[in-house]
Order: sequence, then C-alpha cells, then structure tokens
Amino acid sequence: MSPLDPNVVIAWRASGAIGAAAITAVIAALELILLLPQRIVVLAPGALTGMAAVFAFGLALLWPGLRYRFFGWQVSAEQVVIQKGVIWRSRSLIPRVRIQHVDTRTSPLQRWLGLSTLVIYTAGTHGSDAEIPGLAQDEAEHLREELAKLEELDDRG
Amino acid sequence: MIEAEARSGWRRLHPATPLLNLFGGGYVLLLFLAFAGSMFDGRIGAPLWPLVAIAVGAVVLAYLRFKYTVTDETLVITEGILFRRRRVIPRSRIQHIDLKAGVIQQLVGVAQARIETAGGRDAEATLRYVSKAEGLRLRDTLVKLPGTADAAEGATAPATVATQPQTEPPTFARRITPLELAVAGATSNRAGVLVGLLLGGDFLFDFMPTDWLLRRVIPPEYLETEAAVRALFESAQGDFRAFLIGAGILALVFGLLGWGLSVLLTVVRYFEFTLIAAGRELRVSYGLLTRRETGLRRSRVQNVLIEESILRRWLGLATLRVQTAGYGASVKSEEKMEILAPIARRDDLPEYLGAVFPDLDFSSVQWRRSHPRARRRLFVRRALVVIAASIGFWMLFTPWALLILLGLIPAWLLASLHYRHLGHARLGSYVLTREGLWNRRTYIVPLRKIQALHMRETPFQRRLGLGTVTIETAGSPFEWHAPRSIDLGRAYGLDLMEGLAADVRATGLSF
Repeated sequence: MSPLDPNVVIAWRASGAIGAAAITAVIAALELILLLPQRIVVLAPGALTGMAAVFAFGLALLWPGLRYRFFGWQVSAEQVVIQKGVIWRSRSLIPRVRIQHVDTRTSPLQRWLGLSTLVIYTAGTHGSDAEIPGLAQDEAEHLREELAKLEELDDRG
Repeated sequence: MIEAEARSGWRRLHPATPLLNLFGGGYVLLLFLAFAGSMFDGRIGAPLWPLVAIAVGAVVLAYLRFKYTVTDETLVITEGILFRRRRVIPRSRIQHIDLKAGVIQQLVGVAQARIETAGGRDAEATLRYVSKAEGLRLRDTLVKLPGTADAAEGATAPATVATQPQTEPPTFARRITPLELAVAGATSNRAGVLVGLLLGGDFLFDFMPTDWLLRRVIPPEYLETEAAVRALFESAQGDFRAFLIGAGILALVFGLLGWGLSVLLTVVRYFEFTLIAAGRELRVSYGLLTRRETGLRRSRVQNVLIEESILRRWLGLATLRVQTAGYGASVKSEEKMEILAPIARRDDLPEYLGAVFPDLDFSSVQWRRSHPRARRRLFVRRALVVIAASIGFWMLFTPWALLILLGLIPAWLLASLHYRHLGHARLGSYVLTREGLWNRRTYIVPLRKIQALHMRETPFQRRLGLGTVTIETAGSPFEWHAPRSIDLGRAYGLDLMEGLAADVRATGLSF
C-alpha cells in the first residue's frame, strides 16, 4: 500500500481550520445572541466559544495526521485498491476492467501544494469511494494516463 | 442517417399534449387565478390574460417543435422553442422504457414514455404524451437490440425493423390475479404502517367514528371530551374493564381498516400485473389508476432482489424486483427498482429467476453463513435497548422495571434467529447475499455486473474482527440497499473480495 503525498496533511489542516473557524463563529454568535442578553453565563463569559474553538482547532490539527496514517492506495495490473478511515474503516477494490474514465482535480490550495485528486469512475461507484485525494501532481497525471489504457486489458478484443 | 430518418418519418406527440400540459402543469394556477379574478373584478383578472395567452402559445409551440423518429440504430429527438436541442440516443444504449398513464391520461388514451439509458441524472428522454398504441410500439421496438436476430430481414427491408416490431413468442408469462394481490397486500409490512397512520391521524384530526363506537361500550359520563382516544385514557382511571374493552375494540377496528386499506392499495397499484419474457426482453405491465408498461432488456439487469417479510416467509411467499442501471437521482426511490412480481410463491421463484437469468439454478443454492461472532453483535444491539429501557423506567417509576431485563432472553433468541438469515453464496457466474430478519432481502448479482467491492468495518465490528462486504453494481441507489454480506470474518471477507474481483476480471470489459 502506498501512502499519500505528505503535503496532503497540510491541505487537510488548512481546510479543517476554515471549518473550525466557521464553527467557532457560529457558537460565538449563538452565545452572543441567545445567552448573553438573558445573562446566562456558563463558567465564564465566552467560555463556550473558547471550548468550541479549542476542540475544533485541535481536531483540525490532529485529525489529518491520523487520516493520513490510515490512508493507503495501490494500483496493480488488475485492480485499484483504496483503503481509508480512522474510525469507520473501508477498503475498496475496483477491478480495472470496470473503470469507465479517470479524472484529476486540483483545487487552488492543492495546486499551491503541488497536489491533485484522482477520481475513478465506474458505472456504479458513487461518492468518494473511488477517490485518491492527495497525490503529487505528476504522479496523479501518470496514474490517470496509466488507468485510461483500458483496451490493452481486454484480451478478448 | 438522413435517409433512415426520412424513411421512418418524423413523428409528433399526441395532439392532446398541449391541453394536458396546460391543465396538468403549473399553468393551472395561472388559469384559475385569471378566471377567478375576472369573475370577481375585471380589473384583477385583466392583467393575467396576456400571461395566459403566452402560456398557451408556449405550450402549443413546444408541442409543434417536439418531434422524434426511430431509425435503425438511434432514437432522434428535436425540441425547444428558443434553444433548440437535438438528441441522438443510440438504441443499443437504451436500458429500458417505461410507459406511465394516470387516470386522466388513461381516459384520453395517452401515456408518458420515459426512456432510460445508463448514467445521467434524469431519464434520458421523456415523451409526454404519446398515444397508448404508439407507446407500446416504442417499447417493443426500442428495447429490441437492433440488428441481431432481425439482421437478415433487416437487410432486405430495414424500415420494417423500425416501424413493425416482431413479437417473439413468450418463453415465460405470468399474470397475477386480484386474489393473489389481495394476499400480497394483506401480508405486506405496509399494513402495520397504515394502522399507525390511521391511529395517529385520528388522534390529531378525529376523522373516524371512534366516538360513536366507544359510546356503545363505555359509560357515557366518560365521553364528554371530544377525542375518543383521550376519553379512553380518562375512563381507564374509573373503570378498568371498560378501558380494556374499548382499547380492544379500537385496536380491532384500526387494525382491520389498516389491513383492508393495504389490501385495497396493493390491488389498485398492481392491478392486472403481467410479466412476459420473450426473446431477450422482459415486459411488465400493471396498475389500475396509474397504468404502467415497462420493457427492459434482460442483459441490462444489474441485480435481482427477493424480499420476504416475516409473514410472507411463513406463508412461503416473496416479492421480486430487478435493478436496471438507468435511474438517476430524480427518480423516486421506490421506483428505482422495477417490480418483477408483487407476490410469488417460493416454489415459483426458480422459474421467475430463470426468466431473468436463464443460466441460474436457484434451487441448488447453498448459503454460507456469516461469522458466528456476528450473533454476538446482533445480540448486543438488542440487549443495549433492553438494558437502557429497564434502567430508564427504574429511575423514573419503579424498581419493578428491572423485570424488563428478562427481555434479554428473547433478545438472544431473536439474535440467533436473525443470524440464520445472514449469508452469502456463490452459484455459477452469480453471487448471492442476504440479510434481514423482519424483512429478509436476498440479492442475486451476476459477476459481470459487479463494478466495485468494498469492505467496511465499524469500530464495533473491528473489535470482533468482522467486516461487511458490499457489492456495487450500477444503479444501486443507496449503500444500505445494496447487495452486501454482513459480519464476515475480516480475513475471509478480504479473500472473498479478491476472489470475486478475479472472477470479475475474467468476464472482461462489460458494463
């Protein structure tokens, strides 16, 4: 099983931080609008917001490392195997004869870090089961070309 | 191509289409407002009439612009008022065709034809509306593979392939009588849901003559409040026997009504159900108020689902559905699988399945059970509910609630029973999975239709070294409705996946 590009951890942390900021903002707004006018104070003014911030940012910092550790992928002559999940584990196996087409996608953040997401389409897979989210750009492109060579696999013509 | 089009000729939709669209679509509100406004005060209605004129014009123009033709290899559709659109759908890609006619459409003699290909969000093309006869012609021509069995004849007279469907003699035909449908309705799990809905609805809106009924059995002084169910609870404080009788009668009435309604709904929904297998096609038609005629190509079936609720299992009955690949997100989930038989005897299952998968020998299937530790998971899940309930009631009411813990015994029995229904099997070029105690679902998947395999482990499963293997085919709407084998030993499950993947590769490139 090959690991992802280590830079993906930075990308995940960055997007996690954005999410954490959003959650913190929502909690802060709720505390400001709902609790403060009623003079309800839990522990100390702003404590709820602080706890939410610590929890959310802590998760954004630590979780990507775990996610990285449990992610593995493998492309062989016959099939693509993608393994992932920290708590809910999953291992997906896609026979290469079933691959319809392959995409690479790059968000601005990923481009800055030199990363790409490889998305594999079959007639069946839906959602993120057939995605390898953090590959070095040239590797992703190489894999895309490699996986697109379908005809050679069909020895029955 | 052009020649072929010219030969078969362009066709229009049924002439009643503009009228049906005008009164069937969102325009009805506009029309109503215009009429009502004019009746009430001319000044309110007047500004709306130009809008009505535009709507009528748009509907009529859309009808005039919409044309389609069936050529030897394609279905071509042109449409659009401002933005013209021309679609060419290869006939070999068509998964299936579905004709649907509601009450009004049936009276007019038209139907909506939905043509599905693999992939895509919506139906690939919808012809609203074509005449019944034209719809049936489309169903019979488009589902047939062009240029296979008819190749010789097609060479001499190609036009006949497109316009005159040759009907092959059916290899399998079944008609389900209203009596059998009544049995289906009586044994469906829906009956229970309907009972619940009736009870809840009556409690809220009071639409059933429960007051009148209870007045016969309960002393009138308890019936001063309006809702009967509420009155029943009040009377319980006074006269326990009256409460019991009242509750019994209520349960009986609601139960019978829900049951009757379920029977009625099933008979109406699947009225005159017929299944015909001819050549390489399956034709299904059913429905009283909404009539549906479906044609699908046998080779396009992704998997077959056998559903047996516990009541049906006892009676030796089952429901059969097939999954085709052509449905997108916009289709209602209950329509995502085509019904193959609303009710069938278990002894008839091999015959039904043979109509879809001729090389499947269903009677010789040998199930392999899940890992024995699966039983522990099934038990723990139920035990947690029992323990939580007993502790909860103990805290709230009385220590006697700890007697609820006796429920652990039936919980264990149920878990063992449930375990017996988990399993998978390999049978020729098919793989079968099943799960479910109250409603057992058995899937039959041809190896050549497998798209991907997944092994999933929840934290609880991981502790026991178990995992669930899910088999993905095209068109399965949700993961929990996909063929899967729950709680296999992890190592065994991984081996199973690898073995299946090897078999899938052996089937080569096929979709």
